[in-house]
Amino acid sequence: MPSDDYQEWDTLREKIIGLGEHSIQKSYYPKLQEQLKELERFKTLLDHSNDAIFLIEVVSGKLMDLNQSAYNQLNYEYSDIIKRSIWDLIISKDHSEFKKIFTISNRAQDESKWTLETQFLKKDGSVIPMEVSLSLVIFSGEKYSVMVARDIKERLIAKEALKKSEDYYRAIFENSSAGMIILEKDTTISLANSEVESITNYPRREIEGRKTIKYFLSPDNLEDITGIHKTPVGESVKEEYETDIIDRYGNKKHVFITLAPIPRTDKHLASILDITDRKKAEEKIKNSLKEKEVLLQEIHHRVKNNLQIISSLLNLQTSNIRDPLDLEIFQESQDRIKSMALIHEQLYRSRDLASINFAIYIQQIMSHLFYSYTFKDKNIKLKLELEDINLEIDTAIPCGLIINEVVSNCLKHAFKGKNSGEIKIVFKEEKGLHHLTISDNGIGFPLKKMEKSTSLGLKLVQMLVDQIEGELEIDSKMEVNNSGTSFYIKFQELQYKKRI
Amino acid sequence: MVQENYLRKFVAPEFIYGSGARLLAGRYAKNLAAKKVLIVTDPEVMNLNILVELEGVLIEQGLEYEIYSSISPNSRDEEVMNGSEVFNSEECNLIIALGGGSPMDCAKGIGIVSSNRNHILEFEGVDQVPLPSPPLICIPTTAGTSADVSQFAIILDSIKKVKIAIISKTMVPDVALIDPFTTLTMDKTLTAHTGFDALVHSFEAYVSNASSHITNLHALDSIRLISSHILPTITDLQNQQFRSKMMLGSLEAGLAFSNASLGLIHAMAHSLGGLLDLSHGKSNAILMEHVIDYNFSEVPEKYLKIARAMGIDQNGLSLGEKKDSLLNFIKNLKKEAGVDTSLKKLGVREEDFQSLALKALQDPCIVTNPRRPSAEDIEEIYQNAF
Repeated sequence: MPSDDYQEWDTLREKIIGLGEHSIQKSYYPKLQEQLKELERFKTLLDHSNDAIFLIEVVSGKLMDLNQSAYNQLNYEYSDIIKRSIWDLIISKDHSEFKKIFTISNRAQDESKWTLETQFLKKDGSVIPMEVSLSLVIFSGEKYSVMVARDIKERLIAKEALKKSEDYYRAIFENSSAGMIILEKDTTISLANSEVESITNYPRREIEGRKTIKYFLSPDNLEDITGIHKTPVGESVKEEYETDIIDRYGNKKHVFITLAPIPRTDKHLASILDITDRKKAEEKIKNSLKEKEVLLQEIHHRVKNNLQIISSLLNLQTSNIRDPLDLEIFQESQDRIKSMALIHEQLYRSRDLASINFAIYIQQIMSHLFYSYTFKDKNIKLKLELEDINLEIDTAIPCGLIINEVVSNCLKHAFKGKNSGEIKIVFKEEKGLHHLTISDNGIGFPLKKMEKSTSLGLKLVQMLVDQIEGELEIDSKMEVNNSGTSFYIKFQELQYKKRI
Repeated sequence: MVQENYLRKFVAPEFIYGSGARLLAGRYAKNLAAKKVLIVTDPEVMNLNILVELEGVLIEQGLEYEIYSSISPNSRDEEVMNGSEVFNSEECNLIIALGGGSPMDCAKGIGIVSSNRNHILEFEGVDQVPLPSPPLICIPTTAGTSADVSQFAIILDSIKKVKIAIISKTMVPDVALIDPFTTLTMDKTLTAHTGFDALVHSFEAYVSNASSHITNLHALDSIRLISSHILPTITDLQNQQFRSKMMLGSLEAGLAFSNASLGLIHAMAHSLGGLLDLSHGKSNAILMEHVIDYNFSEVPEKYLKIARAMGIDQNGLSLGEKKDSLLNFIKNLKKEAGVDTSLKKLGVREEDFQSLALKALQDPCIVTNPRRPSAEDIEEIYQNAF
C-alpha cells in the first residue's frame, strides 16, 4: 500500500492504470489453455495406463469414452468403438450381473465400487478375461458408469498353476503312508491327513485347529518332546523323535516323528510313522534270537561236556593199557579231544557264540599241553607273541588241532637230549592274512624223513592246513649251534558257511 | 499532469447502453456458456419487477439460477464469502449482478474468490487478483457507482472496520447492460447521492495524475451531463430523458475513473466509510469542495476546464476568484440537491481525524491524487469538512 516513497507510488500508479502483471489483460484464454493442457496430460496418463478405462452411459449402455489402452486391448480403432454398446463387448452370460449393478444405485454421492470378473470380446470375437472395477457417477444429471478393466489372463494362468501345484502337494500330503501334520507356532495342529486319523482314531475335524501335538503325547514322553517345537524359525534342522502317543481309546502307539520347519513360515511339518507293529516284530525277533543264543550256548556246552566225557572214557581205558606206545596214542587222542573241547568251552562263554579270541585259546591249550607233558628234568620255556584275533569255529577247530599236534610233537621229540629249550608261537595278522608260526630251538629233524613219515600227527597237520586252505612251510635245522624246527602257516579266515 | 509520453491504457467491458439493455441478460448468459447463474442482488431489488424480468429472460434461455441477496448497503467480506459458498455449492458458472454498487462489488468479490479459492481480503490492493472471475454480467440499477464498467470493488473489512479497495483489470465485468429504465425506482435521496458519487468520480478521474486523453474526454462530458441534469432529475424522478442523461453521465464517469483512477476524496471517503456505515455518495459529497480547495493549486487549469464544463461563467475573474466560484457552485449544487451536511452532523468526532487520515494515506486511490498530501494535510481537510 502507499507509503512515503515516491518510487513506490509511481509503481502503484502503473498498476492502477492496468499495467500490472495480472492486469495486462483480462482473458480466460490462457487459463483455458492451461486447463486444456492439463486435461491433455491427464488423457495421456490415462491412455498409457495398462488398465482399460471405459465411461458408459448407463441408460443407453453406450460407450461415451475410453482410453487408448481399452481400444488397443480390444483390437479396435477409437472411431470403431466409441458410442458402441457395452453389451457388444462383454460376453452375454455376464450381462445380467452388470445390469444388476447399473440399476442398484441412483444416488450421485454413492461411492460404492463393485468388482466383477468377466470376459471381454475383442474385435475378432476372441475373449480376454478381465477383472472389472465398476463405479457409478453422475455428470450433468446423467448417470454414467466408470469401468476400469484389467487383463487377468496371466493371473488366471498363475492361479491355475498354483492350484495344480497345490493339488499335487496336497495329494502327496494326503496320500502319504505316514501321518502328516502341519504345526502352528503354538504346536496347534492346523492340518492333518487321513493317516493321522487312523493313527489317533480322531476324525480330522476334531484335530485341525483344535488340538496340539502335546495332546497326543504319552505323559511319560512329554518331557522328551517339550523341545519338539523349539527349533528356531528359518533353521531347516530336521529333528527325529521316537516316542509314544495315546490314541482316542487310550491305546499307546509307538511312533517315529520327523519334524521339519516349513521355510519362510513359523510352521512345522511333522510326519508320524506308526511303528508299533514293527516294534513288536523287532521285539519278537530279539526274543527269538535270544532263545537261539541260549540254545546254541547249551549245544556248545553239551558238545564240550560230551568231548570231556569221551576224554574221560579214554582216560579210564588207559588203566588197562600196558604198552607205553598205546598209552601214548590214547594220550594224544585225549589231547586232541581236549583241544576241541576247549574251543566249545570258549565259544559258549563268548558273547557272540560264533567266534573265539584265539590268543586266549592258545594260552589255554598251551597250559594244558605243558601240564600233560611235564618233564622233571627239562626246562622248556614258552614264548608267545599273539595278536588279539578272533577266529570262527570253522577255522578255530582245525587251527586248534594244528597247534595241538605241532606243540605236542615238539614237546615229545624236539628236546631229546636237551635240558632246556624254548617254544615260540607267533600269531599275527598282516594284509588280511593270518600268520601262525610255531618254532622251537630243539634238535631238529631231517625233512626227508618227515616226508616219508606215516605218523598221524604230521598227516593230520597237513590235512588240517588243507582244510583251512592255508599254506604250510616247515623248516628244520640240525646244525650244532643252530638247530630247531619251525612250522609256518599262512591262511585266511574261512568264509562263514551259512547253516540255514 | 497529463503527459503524452506516458503509457496509458483504457479498459472497458462490452457494454450495451439504452432502454431494454437489461433484457439481453439471458442471451448474454447463454453466449457465455452459462449453465447455472448466480444472481447477486440486494434486499431492495428483491421486491422490484426488474428481478422478475431477469428471471424471465433466464428461464426463456433454459438457464437455471440461484439468487443471493444477503447483502448490506456496503458489501461486507463475509457476505462475499457466503456468496462464493453458494456459487460453489450450487455449481453455478456465471454471475449476474443486479443492483447498485454494493451487489456489483459483492458479485465481483464472489467471482474472484470462486476462481482463485482465496479469502476476499487477500486480494486487497492493486493487481492482486491472479485469475479472472467466472463470467460476470452487471446490470446497474443506480446511476453512480459505475462498478458495472470499473476495475474497482470496495469491500468492508468487518473486523478492521475499514473499506478495502480491490483494484484489478481482472475485475472488469464481461458485459454491462446499462439500462436507464432500471434507475426509475430510485428515490430523491438515492438519486442525489448516486449523482454526486458519479460527479466525484469524474472530478477525480479528470485531475488524476494517471488520466489520459480518452479518460479526460469521458470525465469532462460526464461532468457536463451530471451537473446539468442532477437537479432536474431530483425534481422529476420519472423523467426517462433525465434519467438517461444521468445514466450516461455515470457510465462515462465509470469509464474515466476505472482507467484514470481516483484521488484524495475517495481515499478519505473510504476511510470514513469504514468508521461509520455511511452512504458512499454522501461522504464523497461532504468532502468534495474541501479536497478541491486543497488540490486546486496543483492543477488549476484542469479545475478551470471543469468549471467551464459545469457552465460556470468565470470571465474576468482572477485565479483565486475562479477557484472560489467553482467551490461556491459546488456548495450550491449540494445544497439544492440536499446533500449539504457536515461530518459533525454525521457523527464523526474530531478525535477520529488522526486515524482517519492515516487510513486514507493507505488507500490506493491516493496515489493518483494530483497533490501529494501529508497526514496533517488530510486531518486539516477532515477538520474543514467538520
